[in-house]
Order: sequence, then structure tokens, then C-alpha cells
Amino acid sequence: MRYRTPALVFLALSVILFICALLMGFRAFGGHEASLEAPAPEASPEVFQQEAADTTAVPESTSEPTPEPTAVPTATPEPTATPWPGPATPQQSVKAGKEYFADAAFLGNSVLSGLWYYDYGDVLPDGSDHWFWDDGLTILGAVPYADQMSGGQYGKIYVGFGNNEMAYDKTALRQAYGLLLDKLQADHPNAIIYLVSATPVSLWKSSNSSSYTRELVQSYNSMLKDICVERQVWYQDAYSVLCNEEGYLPSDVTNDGTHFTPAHYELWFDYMQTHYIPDGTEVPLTTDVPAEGGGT
Amino acid sequence: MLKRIGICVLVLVLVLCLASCGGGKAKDIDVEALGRDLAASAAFTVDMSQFPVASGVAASTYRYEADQVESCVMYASPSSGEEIFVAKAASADAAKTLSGQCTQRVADQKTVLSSYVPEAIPRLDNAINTVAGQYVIFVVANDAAAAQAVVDGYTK
Repeated sequence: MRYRTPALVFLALSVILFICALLMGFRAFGGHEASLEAPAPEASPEVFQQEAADTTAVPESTSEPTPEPTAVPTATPEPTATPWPGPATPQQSVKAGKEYFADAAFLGNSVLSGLWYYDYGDVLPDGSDHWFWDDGLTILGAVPYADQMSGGQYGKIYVGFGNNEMAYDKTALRQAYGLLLDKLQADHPNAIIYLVSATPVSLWKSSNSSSYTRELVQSYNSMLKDICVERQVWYQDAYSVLCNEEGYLPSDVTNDGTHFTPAHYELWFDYMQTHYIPDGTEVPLTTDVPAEGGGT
Repeated sequence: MLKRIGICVLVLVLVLCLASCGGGKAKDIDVEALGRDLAASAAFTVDMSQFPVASGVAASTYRYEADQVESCVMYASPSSGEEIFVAKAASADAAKTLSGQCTQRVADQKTVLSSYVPEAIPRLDNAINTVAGQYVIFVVANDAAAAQAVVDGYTK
């Protein structure tokens, strides 16, 4: 009997110690709350912050933060297709001034250069970095001049040919315009491109030449309108503002039946300043052509 | 006494000689007036007074820097290749340089107009290209002699 008491005491003490060790180990590794039950999932600080800002339920997974609540995201809507309003440059209510033309380039023949030569109002820009032209130049020789434009930053480009090549083969002319527009649209993808009509010839010139006639001018301009539709560029109808009721250049404004006086250029200036595409306008998305009657 | 009078007369004669023989200061030329008179003259096939050219064109046409020319007038007829350019350069040296540009203009125009306006070629051959001090007078006219007569009225 005497020998059992120390053993029992020792055994009891061992059990107590064992239980204490269990409790202490559980407290160290088992979480904040001393509990024998499985602890609740621990929320991340981000979720706590989110919960403070939002009353929506906390997602089960907390590995990624909850996104900011926003309007239900949608795909970028497809731009609404705008019917092509026809190749003619629309008339604007506000007259364009020097600021509009500051980033313009002009590529063409001597008739087009008259806009620069007789710009007494100083509306158009000056200099060989805006004017790419030559006497007698035709669309067939335009690409090298377009090469000179490559380094420039132009918001709009006026292309004015026709008076020197109106009798040329239309296939060759169309091809030449195609090549030129390929280059201009590649080099200046954001530029508004205007194809300027051939200007009228006088009755005298039309009657005394087989290469410079009213009908050839009109036919050339009809071709230009087709090209404008095909390539989504704009048509500047200088012909209609410069010709008389019969479609000829008035005889009292010309010495050679083709070129005309500065006073007559005023009509063209006025047209340019009131018929333009505002800066920032996007190119239309369709080439649907509304029914169009009548020629030039 | 006579000796003194003689000396005074001699000095006076010398002074007069120097004054008349010296080059003298170049005449001032009214650039706009000369341009107008040329344009209104019968030297051209067209009424050049109808074709004044805007001020910003001349520098590109004759390829000069803006600070090289104090003032100028220009008339140009695209149908006949005739033109008038009267300029007051910044200096006599600048005027000589500008005159050289006008010579180049003749060569360039011959190349361009030979097939386009062939009647302009003889006009270019007889172009007036005069330097008078700081002034340059460049004229391509159908009647060069008539144009020269107008120019002489301002330079002589």
C-alpha cells in the first residue's frame, strides 16, 4: 500500500500535465478563440474593407478582391452606320477661316494654285510645304508631288486636277487617282481628302478645241464623283460655282479660256469656306449612295 | 588777289567735278508705283493689273528668306507666263542674290512652260532682270522694250 500512493500521485500529475499541454498547444495553433470546434473562414483585410463599403454578400472565395461596383459592363457598342450623304461636301453654317486651313495641303495644277496666288484675304497657308503644284501638271504625274508631302502633318488635302488631262483615257485616269489616293490615305490616314472638280472652260475654248470642251469637263467631274464614293473622300464642286448657266467659264473673266481672274476666284474661295468637313468628323461607314439626279 | 580768286575757282571746279563724277546714292524707287505702272503698260498681252499676287507667294516663287526683302510687289498671269516682280532687298548684296534667283526663275519657267505655254519662251529669253542699289526689277513681258522704258523712268 505504501508503494502505490506515489505512483498514483505521479499518474495523476502526468494526466493533468498532459491535459494542460493539450490545451496550450491548441491555443497556440488553433486560432484566436480557444475552441474545440472548427474555426470560421478567416476574412482578408480587403474583404473587410469591401464589406465596409458594400452591403453585398462577401464572396466565398477571398483569394481575389471584390471588384468595384459599377454599372453592368457592356461591350463597346458598334458605331452606328451613318449613311454616306453623297460625295458632295456639305454646306456649313459657319464660314471656315484661317484656322481651318492652317493644316491644309494643296496638290494640283496651275488653276488650283490660283487659290494661293490670289488669296488676298490671307486665309490659306503659304509656302512650298503646303502647295504642291506645277503648270501643266496632271493626275498622271501627281504621285511624286505626293511624295514631297510625306513628311507633313495635314488635316485636309485638296487635290485639284483635270484641266490638263480631261481628254485622257478614263481608265488611265481612274487608275492614277487610285494610286494617288492609296498613297495619300496611307501617308495621311486622318486627313480629310477633297477631290476638286475640273473647272469650266470658256465657250470659245470649248468650240475651238477637241481636248478642252465643256462635255469633257463634265465627264471628268462625273468620274471624280464616282471615285469619291468608292474611296470615301469628298467632292468639291468648284465647277458649279465658276461656270455660267450654260456650263462655260464666262468669257469676260478669262484670257485663255481656262485660267481666270482673281475676282472670279472669289467665288471659289467663298465656296471653300462654306463647304467643308469640320475637323474631327469621322469618315462615314457606308458607301450607300442616295439616288442622285442630273450631271455637273 | 588774282591768285586767290584762281585758287577758289579751281577748288569750286574740283568740287563740282567730284559731285558729278561720283556714283552718287542710288535712287529710291517706289516699289508699288513701279509695279502698278508696269502692270498698266502696253508691254503685256493681258491686263496685268488684274493679276496682283498675294504677298505670301513671292518668297516661295523667288525662293528668298523673308528677312532678305523689305518690300515687294508681284503680278503674274498664269495664261501667258508674264510676270512682274519689283522688290527692295535688305541690302545691295541681298539684291544681287535676289537677282540671281530671278535668273533661276527664268530657267525653271522655260522648263515648265515650254510645252504648256510655248509662247512664253521668247518672253523669258528677253526677261528684264535689273539691280539698282537695293532694288531688283524682274519683268517677263511680251514687249520687253516697252517694259524697259517704264523701268528706265524709275532708275535713271
